[in-house]
Amino acid sequence: MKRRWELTFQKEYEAWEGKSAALRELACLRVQFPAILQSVRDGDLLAGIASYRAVGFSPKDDEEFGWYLRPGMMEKEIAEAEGEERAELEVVRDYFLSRRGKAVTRACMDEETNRVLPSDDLEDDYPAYPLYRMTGCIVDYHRLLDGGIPGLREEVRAAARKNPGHEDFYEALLGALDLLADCCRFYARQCAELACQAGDARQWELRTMAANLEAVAKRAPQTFWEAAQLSWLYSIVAHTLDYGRMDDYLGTYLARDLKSGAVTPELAQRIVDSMWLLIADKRTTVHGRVMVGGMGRRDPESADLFIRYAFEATRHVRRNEPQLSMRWYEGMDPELLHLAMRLLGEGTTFPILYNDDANVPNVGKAFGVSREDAEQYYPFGCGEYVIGGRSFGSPNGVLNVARVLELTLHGGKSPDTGRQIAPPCGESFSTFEELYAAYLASAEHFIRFLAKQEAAEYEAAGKMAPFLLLSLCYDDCVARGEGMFSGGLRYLGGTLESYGNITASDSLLAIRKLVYDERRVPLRELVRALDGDFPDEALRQLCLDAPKYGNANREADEMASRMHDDLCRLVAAQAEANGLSTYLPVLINNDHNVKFGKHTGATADGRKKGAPLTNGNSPSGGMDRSGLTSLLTSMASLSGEQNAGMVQNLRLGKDQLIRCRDKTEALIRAYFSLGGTQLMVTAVSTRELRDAMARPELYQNLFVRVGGYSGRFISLPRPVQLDIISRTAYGEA
Amino acid sequence: MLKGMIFDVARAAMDDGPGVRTTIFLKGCPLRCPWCHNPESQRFSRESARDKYGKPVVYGQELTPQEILAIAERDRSFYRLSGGGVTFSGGEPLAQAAFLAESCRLCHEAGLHVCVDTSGFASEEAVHAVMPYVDLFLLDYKQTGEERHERDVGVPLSPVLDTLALLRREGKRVWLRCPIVPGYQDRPEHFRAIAALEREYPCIERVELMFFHTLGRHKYAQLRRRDPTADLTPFTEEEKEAFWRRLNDDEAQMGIDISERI
Repeated sequence: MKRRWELTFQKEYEAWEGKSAALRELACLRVQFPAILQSVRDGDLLAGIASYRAVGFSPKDDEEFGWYLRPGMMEKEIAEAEGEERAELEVVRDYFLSRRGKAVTRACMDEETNRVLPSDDLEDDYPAYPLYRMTGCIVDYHRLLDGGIPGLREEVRAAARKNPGHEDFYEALLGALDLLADCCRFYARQCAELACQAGDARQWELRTMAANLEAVAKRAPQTFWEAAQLSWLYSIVAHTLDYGRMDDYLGTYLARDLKSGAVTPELAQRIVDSMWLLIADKRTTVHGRVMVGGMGRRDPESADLFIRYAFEATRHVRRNEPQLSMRWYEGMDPELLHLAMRLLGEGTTFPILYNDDANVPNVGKAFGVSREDAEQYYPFGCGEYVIGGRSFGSPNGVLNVARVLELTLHGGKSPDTGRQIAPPCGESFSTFEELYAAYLASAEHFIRFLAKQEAAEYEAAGKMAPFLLLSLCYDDCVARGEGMFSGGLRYLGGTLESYGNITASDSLLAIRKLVYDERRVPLRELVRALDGDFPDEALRQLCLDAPKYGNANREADEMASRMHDDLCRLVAAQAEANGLSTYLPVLINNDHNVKFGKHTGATADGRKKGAPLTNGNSPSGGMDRSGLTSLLTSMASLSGEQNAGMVQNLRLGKDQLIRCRDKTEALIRAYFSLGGTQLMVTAVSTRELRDAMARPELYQNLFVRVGGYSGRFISLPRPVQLDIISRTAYGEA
Repeated sequence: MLKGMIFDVARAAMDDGPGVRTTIFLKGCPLRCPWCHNPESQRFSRESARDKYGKPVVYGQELTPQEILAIAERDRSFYRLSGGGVTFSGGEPLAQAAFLAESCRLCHEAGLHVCVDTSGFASEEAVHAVMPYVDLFLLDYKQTGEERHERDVGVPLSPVLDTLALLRREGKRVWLRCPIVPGYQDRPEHFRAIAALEREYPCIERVELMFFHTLGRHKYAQLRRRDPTADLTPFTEEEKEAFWRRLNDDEAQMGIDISERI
């Protein structure tokens, strides 16, 4: 019987224990690849599918990173194994339990940080949690494609000559490049074998794929198909889940081949479609970002051509990934925005639109980088910005600010259990400013420890491994002779995911008006009503009637901005002390607004206990009642100068996007001209959503933007479906 | 102080003239079109109703022209890129001529594009008063035939045609807006008449067919009034398509260039 792969992996790791981390990673990668690579499927025009095992090495695996362990999968293997093998597997499990990302991170966190952030279960009642991952790998694909594998090899050798004392690292990098070439050859052989059994048309495809793979194993890619193949296989082996500025790194090859006739438009489209399908089939839900458009591309004209193929692929492959995103600026080909609007009108939820005219200057300020660097900003995953190829900013802490406000109103104690969770702050505040200051102080407490935790997590990652394949394609790891997380990266920053921001700011305003300005209700009484989930409907009505963000209401927007600016400042202030290049908040959303909402009591904006919190910096569901221009005005009012991204969800009736497409496009451009940073558009009416809940079988292809990701509506949990329905739809007929 | 009676303001209005607009709805109308989807617009005075939850709603708020300008100004950045502006609708906005003229003047002088959406049933003086400040008139053409017109909407047709003639004389731009309601206007001679108007009046830049819908039905209930169109059902998309074809055919026969619309 074949020896279990996990045992080999563990033995290899153990053999290198206490020696070079770089060579250890290489040795284990050699066990992992090509072993976990899966067969090319019928119809694939690009080779590269990986199926990760119960243990292994990856920058991000589920809720883990580095030397990871999938407990569920491992237990299953153990249950299946017998006798000695079972015992051996148990040893492997126990071995990695203490060496995996989570454990190493916790060990790097000091005692106090562990105490403030005790729980990894987001369904607990804390306002802050750590996440374990090295996510958001946006590598510089030009580094890979320009010179191919041999080009990188040359660069590594040259750096090694200039930079003595890092022999292990350089040796491991060269080994990783050999491994990548081996993976190319592995698939080349496989394609050649499959070709022997294939029909005529497929045979030609497989033979060409084999030739492409052979070619890129030993030289730089020369055709569009080769470049697409090499970039894809690299992404698989390095395990990046977002795919960079694809129009920028593939556009030139595409344009050249189309011009020379080396590829027909039909074949080029099928290659892009194949890439889309491979991305979709990875089913990451929140990753799979493909960016097109924007400033700072090498060859914009060719890149624009690629965008048309990307749009068409999204039209063909109707899935929730890739999360096709388009960076836009005034001056880009307006036809591309027309095409984007058309695609959105078809209900694809893509492309997600980003406004470079606002974002490039904002990123320059927030990250403190040059315009040239800022032009390479990239929203990965749910929408967190990094500087592609140059910075890392894994979002590894989450903060529920609505819960922080709730705790503040209770002297730092959980109203349900009476447990002291936040620092004690008293419960009576004679002025609004006193309350606000206590709220910020409480938020700062958690932010401080989340920042420490982020730094600890990078320390853990740096100890674990240099992440060789990624380090090859990030500035300045090769030149410095260091892995990404041990000094190699140009900018090592962090991000903090903040939830329930608008719930909190609308609540603060309601408290200020009702308790302090108008003296309609004493604070104590209001808090009691919140604790009882509004037993008195009249009081709730007062809360609901207070001004709400999303209506271009000055007071509500100012409160949102004030709180936003203060929180951004508090987060950013933590960078230096923790040795991070930046530490920035993101107002993104997955479905945490629903999850955290479940564990947050009633709030003074009129929200009932357990109801979803606001999503990104979108208004409370249904509270934006003053028309689309007002919503867009509110959303554009929050500054992007001290954060790493905010997501804005907009639900439009199909009618609006189809019948009034030009006017809607003008609205979006106007919103961008006001400084709006981003927009995610779902084109679906409330009627359709309700009908889809009742008759899901008829709505297999109905996609909605949940937050920072798109989902098949009928597959979403019911509370998330209801949250989406509660959001105002504009232009519904 | 000069004040107008307003019953609603719609921001980001998509259907009241070119671009994205803010529409100011003036309360009070001398006409009684049975298909009216804004029954709360008909009376000149403030009135109260109850919504479906029993919550009181008041229709009618007095605003000054300066306040109107301030509302319209809010979305200025959205007008610019879309070619939009402010639209005065109703009710019949020309029924509050002095207030309308002053509001239009302020908006016009602030550089906003101004539309007036009118039934055309107004005095010549009223039209003259607002005209200098209006970029585009959205003029309703509700029914063909004097007798039918008076019977259906309660006022004669000739003042409407007089207004159209006046606008032509003064070189104003006009979009003709034609409600098409089952049993009222869905007859060939009405479409021929629209086409004839379009040929006769070069000031008409565009014809819009506004098909009957039921979105205003709940408001009749709120106001405890009988909905005169309660028995009507909206046209299907195919029928609407057929009406457009019909109009285009008539226009083509009369030698009107319809290339832009197709």
